Amino acid sequence: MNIIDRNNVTVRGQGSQPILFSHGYGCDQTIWRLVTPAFEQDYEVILFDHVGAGKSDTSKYNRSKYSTLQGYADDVIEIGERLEITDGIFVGHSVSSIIGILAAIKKPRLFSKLILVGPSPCYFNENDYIGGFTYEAISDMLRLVESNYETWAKSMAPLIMGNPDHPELAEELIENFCSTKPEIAKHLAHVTFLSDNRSDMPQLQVPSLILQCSKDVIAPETVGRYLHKVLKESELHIMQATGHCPHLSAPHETIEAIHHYLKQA
Amino acid sequence: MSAKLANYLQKDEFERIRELQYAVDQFALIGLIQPHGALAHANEKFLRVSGFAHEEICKQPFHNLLCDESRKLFVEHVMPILSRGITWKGELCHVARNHMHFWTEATIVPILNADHSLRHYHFIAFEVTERKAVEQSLTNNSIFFTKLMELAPIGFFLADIDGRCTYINKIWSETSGCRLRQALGVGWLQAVFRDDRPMVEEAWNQFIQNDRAFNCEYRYQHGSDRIVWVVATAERVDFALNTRTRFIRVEKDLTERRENEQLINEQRAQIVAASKMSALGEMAGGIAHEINNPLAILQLRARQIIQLVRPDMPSIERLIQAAENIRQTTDRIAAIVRSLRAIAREGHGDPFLRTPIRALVDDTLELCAARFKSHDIMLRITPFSPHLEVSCRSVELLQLLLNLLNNAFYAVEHLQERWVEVGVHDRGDDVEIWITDSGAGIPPELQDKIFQPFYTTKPIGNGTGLGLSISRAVALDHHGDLWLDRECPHTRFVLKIPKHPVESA
Repeated sequence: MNIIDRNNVTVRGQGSQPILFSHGYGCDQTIWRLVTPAFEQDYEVILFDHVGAGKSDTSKYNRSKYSTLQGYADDVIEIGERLEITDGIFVGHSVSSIIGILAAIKKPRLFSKLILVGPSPCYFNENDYIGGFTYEAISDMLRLVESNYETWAKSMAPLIMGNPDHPELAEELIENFCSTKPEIAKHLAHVTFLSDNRSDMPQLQVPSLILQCSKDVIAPETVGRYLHKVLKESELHIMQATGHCPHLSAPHETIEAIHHYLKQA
Repeated sequence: MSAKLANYLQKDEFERIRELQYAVDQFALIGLIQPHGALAHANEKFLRVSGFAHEEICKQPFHNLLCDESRKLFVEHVMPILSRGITWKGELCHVARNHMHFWTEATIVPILNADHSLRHYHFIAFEVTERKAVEQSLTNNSIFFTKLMELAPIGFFLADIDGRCTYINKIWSETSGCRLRQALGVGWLQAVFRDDRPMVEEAWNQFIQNDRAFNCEYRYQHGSDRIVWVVATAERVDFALNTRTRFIRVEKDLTERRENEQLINEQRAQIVAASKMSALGEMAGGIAHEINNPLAILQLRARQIIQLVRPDMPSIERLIQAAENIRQTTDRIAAIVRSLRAIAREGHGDPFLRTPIRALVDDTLELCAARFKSHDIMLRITPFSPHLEVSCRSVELLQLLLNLLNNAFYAVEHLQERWVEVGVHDRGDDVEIWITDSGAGIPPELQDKIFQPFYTTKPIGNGTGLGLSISRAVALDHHGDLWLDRECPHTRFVLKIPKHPVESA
């Protein structure tokens, strides 16, 4: 299996410490383009596309393997092993931050630090847990995904992105959503929004930084605080940035926050 | 009237649903699952595909009918979703009555009561076993080929459509000293030895962009102190859609061969030196003779001068003559010594220079003419243009010619008819020097052997058996050649040397 081909892995930068950037739902590695140049001087920047996204090998998409986030986490582990990464840094956005946590639980030596941008282990409200969505909302949303993916993408992107004063950001997200193969995008929407990985969270032994945006409708502040409570050795950083994609809407603040965290002993 | 119509429509609707169910039953596996997970009903198609009778699976927990992996997925992920009233879609692997596995692409829809409590779930699925088998065999193939590349004793390097590295195997990594992380994209070029890098980059780009063949030998800088030679060849492949790999390059480690070649070259140099010393030894007697003759002349003239230098000196003319004769004779001795020094010197590193053939022949004869004469062997030089020049390392050609003349000397030494002829022929771009002796030629069965190393016809102690093989190597080094003229009734060797410098490839 050619992992590099499958996940369109690219490596750049002059440093020796590997830092792996993992994109979120409906995007690909180009979504990190405003952030990664700031790390190329001191790190070995590794980027990839999840199977089904960007320039990945979509022929490797397998519905049963990717029926849970663990399938994607296994891919991250395979990339790490193929590139002989140990004690690397993982930066994941949204669903990818959970994928990174699952990978780090299974292979604790792979990463020494995780940076979780807008993470959420569960999107629905349940008892005391406020995930942000009711069952019905999730159910309705997935019905819309199924029946009219494009409409869903167009209505969802501005909600995810926030920052209504910069409509071009949401436009980019819509474009990204719509460039993913619809069958794969629909399936991934199910897997993402129905995942409940809350019981996995306490198993993480690797230190992490939670980058929590303000006014994030996908991963509200309650979720960030919840994760900070259940993840051992986690730090919670509430960002000025709004929306769910600070790496696009507030790259400088995102870079600063990551740099600051990594420079700590 | 309206009641009658409603009645009619209801009946119609009922009929329509029955038809729909009939149609769906033709291809879909349908089941009804109770809230606690037991199967309450399965349609014909479900029973036919699974091989179970209705009573065998009814009231069984649905997850018992799944393979281990799907059961885990169902219990841990699917049931929690369904129990929240949310529809789940995905692939499941079932176990049939005969223990064979079959795959379905399933949708499980929760049906809620008015109070939002769960009534039951509808399971609707299509069998996709064949598609999964194809998927699996593709995965197996891919694993198989990766395994092959990992086990192969040669380096494998795969690249995408832009020629950027996407895969290397273990041997490639060991050979180049470069890990995948460094090799990806264009990083592998940094592992190529600095001097070879521009050539390799150019050849690779020509191959990727212009479809030029890629067959190169180059070096990798393995760590700071090791150089590894490889021979590489590459091919374009058109794999299945979507995969990025378009180019396969294989590389074979040549280092051992290269080191052997270098060893051979070094040994050759040593052998040349040894054979030269051997030739010098052989000539020692001749050379003594060469120098003895002029010394006798010197003695004679010196005595003459002593006699002539008296107060009544009868003829100053004769005195001057004798002195002139001494001068000429010492010049000759100087020439012999110069040739001797030349021949004892290693000339392989010398530059190629334009050299007159005349000078080459004269210098060679300085070292052997007397010996031929003392053994009563006639040495003939056929006349040739004094302007003929060749591009050569003169020391090497001098050694070569002396070697050929020595061979001729030994060949005719004991014959009735004893002569050796040196002929020079202008052949346009080349000059041919023929060394012919009065021998009857070389027997056909030996003709192929004489240019092989260590073959000699001379008695032990008189020859190394390396003369002709090295002479030929020297000729080839000069972009010329040395061969035996098989047509000639006598023994004739022909040395061909280009007149002008040849650009080496």
